[in-house]
Amino acid sequence: MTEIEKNAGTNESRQLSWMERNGFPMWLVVFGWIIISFILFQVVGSVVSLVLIYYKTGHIMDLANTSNLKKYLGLIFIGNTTGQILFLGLGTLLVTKIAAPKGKVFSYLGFHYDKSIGRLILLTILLILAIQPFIWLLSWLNALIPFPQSYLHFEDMQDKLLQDFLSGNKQVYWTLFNVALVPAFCEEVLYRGFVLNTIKRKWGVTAAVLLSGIIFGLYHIRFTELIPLAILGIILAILAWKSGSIIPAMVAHFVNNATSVIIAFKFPNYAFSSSTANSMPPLIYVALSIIVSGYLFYIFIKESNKSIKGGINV
Amino acid sequence: MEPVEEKRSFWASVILASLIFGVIYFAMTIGTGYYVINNPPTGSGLGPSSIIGTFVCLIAAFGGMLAVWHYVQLYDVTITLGKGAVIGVVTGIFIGILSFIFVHLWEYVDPNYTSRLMDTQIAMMNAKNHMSAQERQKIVDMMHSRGSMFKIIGSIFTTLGLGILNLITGMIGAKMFKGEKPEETF
Repeated sequence: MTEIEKNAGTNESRQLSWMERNGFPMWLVVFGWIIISFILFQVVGSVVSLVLIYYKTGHIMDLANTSNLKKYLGLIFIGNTTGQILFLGLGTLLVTKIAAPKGKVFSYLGFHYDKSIGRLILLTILLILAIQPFIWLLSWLNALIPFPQSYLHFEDMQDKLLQDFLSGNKQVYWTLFNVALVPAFCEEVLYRGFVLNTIKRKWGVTAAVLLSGIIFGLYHIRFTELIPLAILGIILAILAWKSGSIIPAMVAHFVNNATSVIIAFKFPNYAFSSSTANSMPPLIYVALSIIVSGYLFYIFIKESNKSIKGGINV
Repeated sequence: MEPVEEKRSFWASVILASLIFGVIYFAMTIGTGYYVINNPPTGSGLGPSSIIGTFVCLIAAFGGMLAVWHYVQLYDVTITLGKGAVIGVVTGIFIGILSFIFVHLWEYVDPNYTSRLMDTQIAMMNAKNHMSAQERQKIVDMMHSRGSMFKIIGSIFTTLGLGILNLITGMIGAKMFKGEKPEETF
């Protein structure tokens, strides 16, 4: 057992964080920051979008108006990305300072890389590609849950906007930056870095993995995709926990989002017709997906156990 | 050394403060509602009602501070910033829930209140001259068809917002009234 392993997780030996020294309960810091960062991200994202639209057009737009949303979706994406970077990413780094022992912010969040992580990243990429038909099955199951028509209309409007943005936009790298790279970094820092590791320290790894996954699903405010998103969140949390590094989860998240973007660019008709969760995926694909991703997951866990520290190193 | 956690119950302080501020918040919300109903629509997003609304929120933020003050006076204890934050956030959430209940109960006193308020908001929408008739109609339809959904979502956000504001004033209260010297080096 290494020195790090001996020290990790024992109350007597570990350094107390500012949060613990000042009597802040863990649940308040975690859930408080999830809510505050979400509100700030939405508000600042909207304000940045409005300022950009004002700069471009010379007058203030009403963002509740769908035609304005469509017309300036590119600028709205810039606002959204700015909000994510500022609050889900940089804000979380700052808040981690109060939850992590002094000077250990990055190791607390799981920014750890060595040769073994490289191998795990490769496995992660294969796993996230192989698991897609299974995720599709979960989407289909989720779609069986009845939702009010007005809510479904709201989600349809969101889908239509995204579809317009992806099909009307020819800048693939810019879209990848907004839709894949920034969320992969910022959301992973928040959920698989801060939330997972902070809950793990107080309530244990099972609660941390399940809660971080479920909150990740809820955060997207797409209840027709809550089950697949939560399961994906739980899988990413297990990848981060077992590898002791946030990097494989970041790569997995990036590959997952980037695949959707690339399919939308290369095969728009296929992407926007088959991505509908109302049809059940072919069972042979689902069976193959479960077998292959299950095997890759098993290899990932085995490889992790060989080389790893089992989580955060603080 | 682990900080010693203060185990005495804070519920009496939370209930007292949230009742006082819940009633104040409700009274000011209803008062603002009648002010909006009884004045001609301005068409501006930043009218007097928005300013009063912000003021109402700021007033309600002091519930957390009152609850912390009461807790400290009741038990004569030293509390941490964290305990102040917990008392504050719980008080804020209770203020939100209580005012939501009171506003709904008010519908029994004045059954036309909600519909008159909605009509005024629609009139305000119409007064916005930069919107086309089609855009206005879309929003009006949306308000009619999804009014209750917006009301619930709005109440959830109000409650969360009050929780966050009172979390801050609860921490300030802990520091002001009997806060121990916190170790503030990050």
